[in-house]
Amino acid sequence: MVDVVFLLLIFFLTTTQMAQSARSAVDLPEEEGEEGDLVARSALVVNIDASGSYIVMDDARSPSELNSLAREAAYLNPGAIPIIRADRRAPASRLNFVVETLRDAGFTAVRLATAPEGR
Amino acid sequence: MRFASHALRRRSRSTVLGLTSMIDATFLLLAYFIFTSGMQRPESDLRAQTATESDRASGAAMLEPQVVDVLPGAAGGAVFRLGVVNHSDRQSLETALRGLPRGPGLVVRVHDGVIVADAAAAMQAGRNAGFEEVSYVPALP
Repeated sequence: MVDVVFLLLIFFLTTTQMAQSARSAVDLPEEEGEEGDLVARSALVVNIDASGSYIVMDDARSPSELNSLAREAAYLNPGAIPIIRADRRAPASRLNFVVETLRDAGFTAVRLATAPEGR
Repeated sequence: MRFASHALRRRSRSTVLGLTSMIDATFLLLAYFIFTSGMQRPESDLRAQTATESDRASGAAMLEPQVVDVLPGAAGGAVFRLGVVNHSDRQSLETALRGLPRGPGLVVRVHDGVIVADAAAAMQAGRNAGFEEVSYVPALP
């Protein structure tokens, strides 16, 4: 029993680290958003920090790298909707670039992550 | 009779469980979940279709979607332009959007010089006004 419990503990520790690596620390726009589950798996999570850097899986990416990742994700997950987690103070030109890149890769929709106010 | 009592004794002995180590593990798990659940804020999202300006311009649809331009304002903030009217705050934009037909959808065209929060505010205003379909269009430089 204890073995199983520890196995579960290790599993949760590992998976939580993976989930956090997709979620960088960005100050999201304080908007209500829509009813939906951002927890659901997404093909790609692109983070844009306050300085405008593109971060995917905890690594800063160049525009060309982002382009390659987007095309690969669109090929592997057709019909999926990528999530953009952009810092509220980041320049919108960076957000525009990410949306253009994702659209060119074949994604027809995106989801902009928000932090519901007061929660 | 002796048989029965012997069997009963054996059965009761076999049901004894040592819970000490399991309680330790349970508390460890409890502490772990308390720490990890407190660190992440809940997130929501705003969904938008991706489109280009050329897509919209060449569309032969009879219903042309309404366009909200998110432009840099003179005082450093953003201005939301709907048609020929500039709205300096999202509340007035939302009020204006409520008076428009929902069917054609809404296009949020974001120009350089504003920040992400302004783009998100325009998208949220569209959603609050009842638009089911909101498209995000990067403005041409």
